Amino acid sequence: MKSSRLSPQMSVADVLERWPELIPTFLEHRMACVGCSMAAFETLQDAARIYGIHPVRFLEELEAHLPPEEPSGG
Amino acid sequence: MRFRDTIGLVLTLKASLVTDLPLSDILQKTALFSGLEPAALQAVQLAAHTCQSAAGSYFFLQGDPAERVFLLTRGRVKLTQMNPDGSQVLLRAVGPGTLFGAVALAQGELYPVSAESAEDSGGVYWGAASLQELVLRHPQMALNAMSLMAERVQEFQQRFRELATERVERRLARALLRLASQTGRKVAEGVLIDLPLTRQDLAEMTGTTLFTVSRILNQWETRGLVTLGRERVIVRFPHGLVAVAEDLLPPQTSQP
Repeated sequence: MKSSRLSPQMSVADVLERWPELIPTFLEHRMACVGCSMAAFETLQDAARIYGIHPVRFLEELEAHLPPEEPSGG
Repeated sequence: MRFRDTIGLVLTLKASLVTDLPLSDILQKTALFSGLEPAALQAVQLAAHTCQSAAGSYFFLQGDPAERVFLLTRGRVKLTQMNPDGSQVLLRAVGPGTLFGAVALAQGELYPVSAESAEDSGGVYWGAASLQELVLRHPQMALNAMSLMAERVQEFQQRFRELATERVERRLARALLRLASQTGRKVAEGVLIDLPLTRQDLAEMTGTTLFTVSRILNQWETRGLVTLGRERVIVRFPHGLVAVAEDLLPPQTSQP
């Protein structure tokens, strides 16, 4: 498996700002995170738990929807 | 309601928790100055004066001639308005990186609010005339100011609609969420609203009574949504509060 750019402790707001491509995935799970003022304070793990999704599976799903890695990414 | 007077006065920067940075960095992140050339930013910085305000003292008072625009770099400021009956209403809480007193950009106005330091605070200010001159020389600043004011108008329109149409629980939840996003700080138990905040402040912000606010907050504390302290509120379960504010349905999958 390639190295992950996502971690369970990343804030939902940071992730959505950096990768707007992931917005549909949140919406498909009927998560209210998109545009929520509290998204800065909740981690991906928090969000998955709240919606009863297994955190590891949720991260894998997000990972699958990430755009191809930029050469400069680190 | 005197919304007309308060609209567009306070210009907020989104990531509002910058502090202890060099002034040039703070200016660069301030929405009013975004997109300015380095030379223009330098002119803005040269025209700025620093200022301090101890907890409980005022940057300016409602009714003073609006002669300065402020940018908070440290501390917390409460913007309040006096009602004709003498009671004070908390309109907004301001954290580092936020402009206030921006009404001074318009000519010949009076400050429609008082700006009180909730804790020892510091910032910079510009004389209205020198900032106006900078705006004329750098039209990008005028556009920035317009989009910030539009944002502010939308916030107050939304608050007006909430007051007119929504249940008190939703209004209170929204007020807490707004304060948390403006001044919130992540702590072990949740999101601390980093501002001395009385039940009375919350009652005034949501157009209800102290008694009602206390009753709802105590219910929420029992449900684990918030932790209450003396003049302190910690949002323990932000999602739960959002669910109240937005009337969200519970998640469809059951929780483990």
